[in-house]
Amino acid sequence: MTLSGDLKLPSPDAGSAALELKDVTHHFGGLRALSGVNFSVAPGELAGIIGPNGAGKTTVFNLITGVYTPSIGKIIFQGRAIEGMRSSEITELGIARTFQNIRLFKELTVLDNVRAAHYARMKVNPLEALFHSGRHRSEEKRVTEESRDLLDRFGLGGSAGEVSKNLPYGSQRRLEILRAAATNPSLILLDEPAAGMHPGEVEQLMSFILELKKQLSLTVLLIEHQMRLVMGMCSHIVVLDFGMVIADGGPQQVRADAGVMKAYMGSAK
Amino acid sequence: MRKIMEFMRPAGALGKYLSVKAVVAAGFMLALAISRFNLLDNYLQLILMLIGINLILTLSLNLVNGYMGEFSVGHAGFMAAGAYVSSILSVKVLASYSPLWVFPCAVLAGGMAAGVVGLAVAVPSFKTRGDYLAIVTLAFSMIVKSVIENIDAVGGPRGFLGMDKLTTLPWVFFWTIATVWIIRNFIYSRFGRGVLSVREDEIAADLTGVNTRNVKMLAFVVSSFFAGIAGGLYAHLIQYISPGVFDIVKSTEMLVMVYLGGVGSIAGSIIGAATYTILLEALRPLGIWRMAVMPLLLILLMIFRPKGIMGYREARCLSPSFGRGAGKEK
Amino acid sequence: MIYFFQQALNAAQLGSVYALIALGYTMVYGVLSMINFAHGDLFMVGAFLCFVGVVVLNLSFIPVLLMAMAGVTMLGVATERVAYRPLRNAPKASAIITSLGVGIFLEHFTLGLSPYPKYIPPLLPSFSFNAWGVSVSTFQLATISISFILMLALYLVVNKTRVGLAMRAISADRGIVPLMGVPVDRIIALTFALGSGLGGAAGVMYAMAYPVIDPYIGIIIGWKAFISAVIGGIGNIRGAVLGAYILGTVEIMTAAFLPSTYRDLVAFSLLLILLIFRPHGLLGRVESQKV
Repeated sequence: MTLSGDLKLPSPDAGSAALELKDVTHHFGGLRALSGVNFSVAPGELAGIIGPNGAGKTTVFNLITGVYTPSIGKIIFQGRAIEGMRSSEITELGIARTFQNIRLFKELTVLDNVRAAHYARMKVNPLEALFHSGRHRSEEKRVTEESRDLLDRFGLGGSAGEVSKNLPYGSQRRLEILRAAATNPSLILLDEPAAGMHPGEVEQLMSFILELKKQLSLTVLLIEHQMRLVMGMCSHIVVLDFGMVIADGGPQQVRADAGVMKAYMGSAK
Repeated sequence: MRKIMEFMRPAGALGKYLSVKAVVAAGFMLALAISRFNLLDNYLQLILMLIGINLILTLSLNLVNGYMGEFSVGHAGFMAAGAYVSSILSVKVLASYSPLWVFPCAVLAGGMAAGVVGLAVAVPSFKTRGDYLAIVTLAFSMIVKSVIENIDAVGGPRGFLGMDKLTTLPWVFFWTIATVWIIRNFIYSRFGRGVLSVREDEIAADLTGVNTRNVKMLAFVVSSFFAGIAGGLYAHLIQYISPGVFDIVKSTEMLVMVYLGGVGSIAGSIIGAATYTILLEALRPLGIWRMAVMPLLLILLMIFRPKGIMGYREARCLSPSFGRGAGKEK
Repeated sequence: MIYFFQQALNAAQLGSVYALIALGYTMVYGVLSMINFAHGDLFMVGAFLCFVGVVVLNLSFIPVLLMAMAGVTMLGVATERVAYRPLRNAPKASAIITSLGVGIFLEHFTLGLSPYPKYIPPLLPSFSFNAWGVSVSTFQLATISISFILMLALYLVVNKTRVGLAMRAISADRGIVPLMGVPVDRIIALTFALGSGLGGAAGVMYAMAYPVIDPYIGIIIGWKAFISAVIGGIGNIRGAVLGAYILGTVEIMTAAFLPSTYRDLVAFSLLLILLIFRPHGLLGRVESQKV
């Protein structure tokens, strides 16, 4: 089941990768955050980026979503180069994301957080909005129904009218992910979704993500420190350390990699 | 069960919609009667009209400061643009025509001129926020003031006279209701949610697909448009305007009304504007000390109730009936 | 050429007045992250205290200067204690609005006490002497030299003393400083005291150059000084001084070639253009948000 809205037509040479980073290097002033990062994510994959703190994982997300433009290198999404585009444009193309520290619209209700995500796909111009024309009314109805539906399907229907800052932590995280999903993306980036959760909550999160991926036909790329989640869900893992890719493959392969051991443990053992 | 409720809601909305319309129509009739037959003395009519004008100003500023969370300190500049453009039209350009349609045209033109200035102010807002944007808005309003002072054709620093008293209670009532309606529509629309998401977290808004540039531009233009309308109404009520009227004190008064009533709340703006206007009139016996006492009240308000009377809460009758509106409902 | 140097001297005089006031704005912003919109009106009070000192109390220059500085200092500290300290942790909008309120109060309170503009007779023997063809008045000399002395003193306090170190620490990170044993409240009060004192001195300097004063000079001059601080990068002490002399120069040069009513227009337009291209001022720090 997918959300209604425009079909995203991939560009002519979509190739087999949904997302590809090519030789991406990025500097912050004198600090080099990423060096020659190369990896790709296939459509429909559930991939993970892992690595010690400060390895540059969130920077990768920031580059993909247009918060920064890479100093060198290309980012290709569905065959189209997206480096240098504005964030809202990238989101319209089909990439959504969540953040390390939950960034909900705190004073807005749960429902409004999700409805806000429909901004780009509502076909209402300013005059229609200012005078609440028929088109505005029908679009509002459609968006409200779809948003309620999404919330209901994933367990937040009952809190639709709550102010989002009042939700428990786990629900806030879930809402943030749902808000991202409501932008009708093909690729969703999750930045440490399990941060601050205990094992029981992590289990729930894992089934939630898998269910969401299935129902909305998403490609998922996540950053995580909790190994159980990564090894348990991801079919493709990329390991970053000091801004470079030191391993890239399936979970078994990465687990056995000596370089990865060294990065995490201090020595290969 | 939910389906039944969904079905019933539109009917409920229609019922509520009708009764709001009835109240508004009755109010308009009342305004017309008071004005035509002088049911209230001129002084009270003046106060009512000033309340209306202040209400339009407060709502316009609340859109940018309250709902979008920006910090505009120079709204008097927009009001000035509207006041001067409308006055020039009614006194110099269209003087020989019937005031019945000249007045609304002049006021509308004033609003549009103010909207253009608002568009110019919106551009710096793309890159700056907070304190720096406050300074930019202040600079803009000072520039507007300086420009007017340098144009001799409109009297420069000496001011501009000659407007007929075209502002009447029914007109003010009409424009006030129009402002409330349009701004309320704006809030409960895709752009309103856009504005609120910019306030809450601009980066997250961008990444949720909200075109923050367009949203900011629209908010500034709508806001300045209505400030210009208020300026036009003001000019044709007091019949004298000068750059000195639209200075930092005027901008501060607008801020007081917004923060007194409650940011991010239309009902709050209504309360704030009415309370402030009446209070200011009540302090008139103090003469020159009036404007020394007013800021003291403001300071006390900021210390003890910084979010204003209504806080973020909104009156129920203003929100649409399906879904929940912006923020909590009272 | 001579004309140019003459104007440069005028610019230095005006810039010095702006600098003294701009420093107050910038120091308060540095420690409190708050724009004290009432600061310009403190300067105005300084000018009026100067009037009181000269006309009512018949004092001579130095006592008047000290009196104005002391008076404005006390007023500034009192304002901080009564109006700003309760809002230390409130949203910024509240603090800014309160400062606007304080400013309006000071203006109208003074207006109530003094409905008509006041004239201040010269504080110093008024003559000018010729230096290589440029005419230098005693007022200009006094303004520039005293401003220089005061700014030097401020520099020494901020950079060479412990309290100055505390001030700079609070500017950098307010939250952690109390944990280091620094009495934050007292340091902030001291910051206000220093800024206000300079503002009071500026009032006296201004009165020397423009002997007719009214309660609205705080708005006119104060805002210009505020613009100076912003041009230089608000929160940055060197920026405030730099911005002040830049603005003084621009204004004097504008007045030399355009009608005087254009002065304000040019000043504000300059500010706007600068903010569009360099939103944080010339020496200001760009604070990036972590995403």
